[in-house]
Amino acid sequence: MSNMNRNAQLITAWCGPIFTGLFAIGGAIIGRFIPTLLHPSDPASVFVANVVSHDMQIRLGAFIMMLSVCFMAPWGAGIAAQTRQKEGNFPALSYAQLACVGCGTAIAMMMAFFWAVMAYRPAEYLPSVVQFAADLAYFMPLFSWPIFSGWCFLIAVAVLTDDTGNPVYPRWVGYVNIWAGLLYIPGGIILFFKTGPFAWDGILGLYIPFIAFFLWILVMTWAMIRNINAGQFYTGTPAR
Amino acid sequence: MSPKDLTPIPKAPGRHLPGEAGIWILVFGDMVMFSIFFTVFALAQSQEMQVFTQARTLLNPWFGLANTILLVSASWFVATGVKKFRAGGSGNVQLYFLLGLLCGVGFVINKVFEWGEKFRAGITPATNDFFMYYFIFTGIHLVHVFLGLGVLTYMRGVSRRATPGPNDLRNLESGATFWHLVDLLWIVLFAILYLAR
Repeated sequence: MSNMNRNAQLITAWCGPIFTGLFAIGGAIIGRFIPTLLHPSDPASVFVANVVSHDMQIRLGAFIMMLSVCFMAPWGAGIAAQTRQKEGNFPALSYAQLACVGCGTAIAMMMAFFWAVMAYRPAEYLPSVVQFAADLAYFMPLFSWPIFSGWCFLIAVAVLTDDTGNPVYPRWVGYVNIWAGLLYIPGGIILFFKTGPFAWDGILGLYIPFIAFFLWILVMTWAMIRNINAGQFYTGTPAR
Repeated sequence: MSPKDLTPIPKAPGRHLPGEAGIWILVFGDMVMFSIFFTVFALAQSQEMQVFTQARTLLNPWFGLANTILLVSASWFVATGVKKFRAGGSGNVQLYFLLGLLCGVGFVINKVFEWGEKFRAGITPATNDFFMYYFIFTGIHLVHVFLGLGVLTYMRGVSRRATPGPNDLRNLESGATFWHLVDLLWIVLFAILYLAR
């Protein structure tokens, strides 16, 4: 009996915590993306001075952020693979999840891209260009909330509409997905604010969506590993 | 490989709750989010007491009161519907969910008039911090109402089935729990936005 599939699923599952850990190092501790070094309401001169004085730190952080987000793709694929086995020959929900994780990964990479470019030569760019790059870096993961909420809702549908009595994840995990999907919504409101709790440095605009997202990753990882430990991996002979 | 090859995971024994444990995770999770909203609002109010007090007089409490009555009535209809369904329900169970649904639609219509009145008076989320919170909090609550209307539509469908399925009562209780959350959040919003002095 081959453990190949078991190991493959475990690897994809652990990509979630690796993403979280690397993002914590690159985005939070080193890169100063969150908690925020910059503020949308800062005057351009203060804004640029902050970037210039932290440029090496931001570059290193952006490098690690870019590395971290690449782990999102296999992690999302692992979830889709697990929900797929319940869907039979027409795995619409799982395919839709794959589309979301593809878009989501691309968006998260753009976040790291713009954070990196901002610190590439901040003293030579026009100040408004530095601000523009920072705005883009924050708008990428936050203003794109529908793709991430949709991803959560697809998983919730796969769990909650399963009436076989043995859904792919426990039903409460389905509700956690609805909860997380709702918490990303304030990210869309950053468009309208430059100060206060709904701006891209605010508790509701930035922190709640980000905290909900990484908590969601940890819950889903736990649920994936639980399935694998319960023996839900491929052990038969391949078709054909 | 077919699903029968997969080992079922035994269900953990649980205590009895209305609906299922999972819906309460959503309820408490959502309440945590709204608690943060209310804390942020209270902090902002303490910094701009005068602006908030003055802006509050521009709200028409009758709109808020009408909406409170509509949502509380909807909750009563939904709770009664679930009770009747649990008792083996006759044909009119779906009527209670329909009445709840209509109250919810009434809430949305009332909100359209209320916001319309504000916009015509030149009041927008940009007017001041009070109205920023007013529009965003009631807007996010409105998203919950729309979700709740979807849930009530589903519940009405379930209650119309000729033979109830094994999970129908659980699903109805879960749906009702969500609707009561929508109601509860509104009551808090009504108090802090319209009534607090």
